[in-house]
Amino acid sequence: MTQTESKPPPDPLPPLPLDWAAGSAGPPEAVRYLRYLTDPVERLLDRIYGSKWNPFYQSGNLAVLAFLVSLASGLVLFLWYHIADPHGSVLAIQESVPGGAWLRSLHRYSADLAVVAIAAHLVRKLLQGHTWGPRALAWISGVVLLLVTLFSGWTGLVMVWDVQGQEIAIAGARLLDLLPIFSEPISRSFSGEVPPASSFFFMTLFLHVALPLGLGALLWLHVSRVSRPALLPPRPMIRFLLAALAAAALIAPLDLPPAADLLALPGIVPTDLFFAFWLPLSRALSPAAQAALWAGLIVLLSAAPWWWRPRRAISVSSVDESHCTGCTHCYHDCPYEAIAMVPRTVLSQTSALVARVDPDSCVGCGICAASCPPMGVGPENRDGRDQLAAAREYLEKFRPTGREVVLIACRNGAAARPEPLALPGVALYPTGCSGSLHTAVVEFLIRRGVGGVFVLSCPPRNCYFREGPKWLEARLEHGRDAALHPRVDRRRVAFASLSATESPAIRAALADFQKLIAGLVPTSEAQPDLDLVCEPPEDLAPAETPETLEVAEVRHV
Amino acid sequence: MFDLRLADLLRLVLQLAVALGILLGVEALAHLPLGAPAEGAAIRLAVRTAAGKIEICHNVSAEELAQLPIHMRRPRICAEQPVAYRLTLNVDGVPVHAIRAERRGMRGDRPLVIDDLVAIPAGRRAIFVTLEPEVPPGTPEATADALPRGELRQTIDLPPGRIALVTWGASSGLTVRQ
Repeated sequence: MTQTESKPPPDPLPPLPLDWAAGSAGPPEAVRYLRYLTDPVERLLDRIYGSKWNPFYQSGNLAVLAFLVSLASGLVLFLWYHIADPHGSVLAIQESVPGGAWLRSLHRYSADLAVVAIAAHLVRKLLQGHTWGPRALAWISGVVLLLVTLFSGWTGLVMVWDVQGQEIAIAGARLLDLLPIFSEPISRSFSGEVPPASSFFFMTLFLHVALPLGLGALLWLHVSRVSRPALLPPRPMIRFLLAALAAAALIAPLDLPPAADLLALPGIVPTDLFFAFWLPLSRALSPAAQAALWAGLIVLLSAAPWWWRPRRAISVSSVDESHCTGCTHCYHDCPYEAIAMVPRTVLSQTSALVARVDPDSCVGCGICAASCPPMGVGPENRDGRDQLAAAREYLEKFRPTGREVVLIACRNGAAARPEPLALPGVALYPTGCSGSLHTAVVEFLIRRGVGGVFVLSCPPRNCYFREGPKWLEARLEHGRDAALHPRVDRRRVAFASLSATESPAIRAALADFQKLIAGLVPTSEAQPDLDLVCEPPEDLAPAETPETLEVAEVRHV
Repeated sequence: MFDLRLADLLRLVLQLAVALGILLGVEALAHLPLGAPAEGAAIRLAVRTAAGKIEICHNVSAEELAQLPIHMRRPRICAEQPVAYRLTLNVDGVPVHAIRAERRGMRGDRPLVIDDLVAIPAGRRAIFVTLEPEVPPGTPEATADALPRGELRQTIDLPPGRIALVTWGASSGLTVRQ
C-alpha cells in the first residue's frame, strides 16, 4: 500500500511515441551553432541571477529602460548645450554644472547599454527563430530601430565635437558623398578652411533629439502584433539597473577627450565601441568598401525573415465552430492577437459570436488550444482532443505503476536538451509550448495511474512563444479556463518555471517530487477511464477524499 | 535562518558586483583608445572654384539663321564648356600627387572641388603646388589666358600629426595654412 523510499525507482519510461507538437515550427538548424556561443553566457547568468532575473531573457525590456534613462538624462544635458561652442559647453557641463559629469556619464553609459541590450535581444530572437512569418514585421522594425538608435548615437558623439566626434563626422560625410545627390562634397565642410558652421551643429542636435522621439513610433510598430506587450522589466529589476547605472557613472565618470582639430591627423582616439565600432574600419577601408559592408549587413539582417526560418511550415490554429461556445477565452489568451470574435454565419443556440483565427497573424503556438474547455480550437493535430489522444497512445505503451513521474517539458526549453533530465523513474513528455498543454492531459495521465505529473515551463520572460508559462500557471493553479479540474489530486501535480540551463535545479525539484510521490498511494487502476472529451462524465470519482483535494494545492517549485 | 539570510545577502552582493562589472566593462569599451600616434604629417589639397569654364562662340550664317525659329535667331551663339583642371604636388622636388578634376554636376555646371589628403613625412618640407587648366584645343588664346591658374612654392614646417592646408582663392591664388 505505502511506497517506501528504500525501494529502487522503476526504470525510465519509454520516450513519447507520438509527439503531438510535431507540427510546431521550431528555430532553424543554425541555432545549434549559435548556441555554442550563447549557452555559456546564458548558463552563467542563470546561475548568478536565476532564470527569473536573467538579463538575457529581458534584453528587449532592458533596451527600452536604458533608452528611457538616456532620453531623460539627455533632456537635462540639453539645457546646457550650445551649438555655437559645442566642445566648450560640454566641458562646462563636465566642470561647472553640479553633477554634470555624472549626468553625462549616465547618459552615455545608458545609451551604450541600450545598444548592448538591443544586440542581445537580436541574438535571442535569432536563437528563437522569431524572424519570419507573422513576426517579420517585428523583426524588420527591430532592425530599423537598431539602425536609428545607432544613427542617433552617432549624432550624439558628433555633438561633443571632440576628436572622436570629428572622425565620425568626417567618415560619415565621406560615406554620404558617395550619394550622387550633393552638388558639393559634404566632407569639404571639414577641410579645416573654416570651422564647421553652427547650422551643422544645429542639424546634429535636431537629429539627436528628434530621432529618439521618433523611436517611440517605431517601438509601437515593433510590438503592434502582440497582445499585452511588456515594454519594461519588472520593477525590482528597474530599481536594480538604475542603481547599478548610477553607481557606474559615479565610480567611473566619462572623461572628455580633446576638442576636434581639423588640421590634425587622427592619432589615438578614445572610441565608443558600441556606436563607433566601425571607426577603425573607416581608417582602413575606402568609403565605397565601407558602404558595401554596411549595405551587406543591412540587407542580411533585413532579409532574415527569408533566410533564417525553419524548413517546415507551421500549422496555424483553426476553430471548430460546432464546439465553440463563444466564451472568448482563446480570444483573450492569444499572445499575438490572432483571434477575433465574429458573428456566426450559421445560427446556433450556443452563442452569437464565434472565434475566428487570422492565419496571417497566428504563429501556431497552440496556447489557444489550452484555453478552450470544449477543445474546439488549436493547430492541426494539436488541439485538446489531439493532445488527449496522444496521451492515451503514450500510456498504452506501458502500464503505470503509480510511482513514476511524467515530466512534461517544453521542447523549445528544457526538453530541447533532454540528457540532463534523464532520471530513473522519470519519463520525459516533450510538448510544444507548455502554455498549449491542455490541463485535461494532466488529469488524464494521473487518472490513468501515473504517479505524478511535473509540468516544467520556461521562465515567464523566456517563453519561446509569449505568455505560455503565465497561462499554464493560471490554469493549473488559479482556476483560469481551461482549469485543472478540482477532482485532480493536486499533490500529484507539480509546476516549475526553469530554464534549460538550470538542469541542477530541475533535477533537484524532480527528486523532491519523486520522494513525495513515493509516499503516496499508487493511483493505478484506482480510477475509471477518461473519455476523450473536454468534460469527463460527472460520475467519475476522485482518487482521494474531497477534503484532501480541497486542502492540497499544486506544488509550485 | 541566519545561514539563509547570509546566503541571500551574498547572492545579492554577487549580483550587484556582476552588474557593476558589466557596466564598468561597458564604460571601458565606451572610450577605448584606438589608433596610434600619428608619426607622419599630411597636406590637404582643398580647392573649390566656380571659374573653370570657357565660352565657345561662333557666328551664325544666314542659312543657319533661316532654319531657326524667329525668336531664336541671334547672329552669335555661345556655349559654355567646362574646363578640367590638373593639380600637382611636389614635395622636396619629388612629385607625390597629381589629380585631374572636372566640374561637378550632371551637366558639369557645378563648382570644381578637390579635397585630397596626401600623407608626407613630418619635418621641414619644400612644397610646390600647381593648378593648371586643361584648355580644349581650338580655344582662343585670350580665353585660355583668362582661365584662373596658380602656383605655390613654399617651405613649411610640419610637426608629426599636423596637416598643412592648401587652398585656392580667386584673388589670393594658392595659399598654404597650418
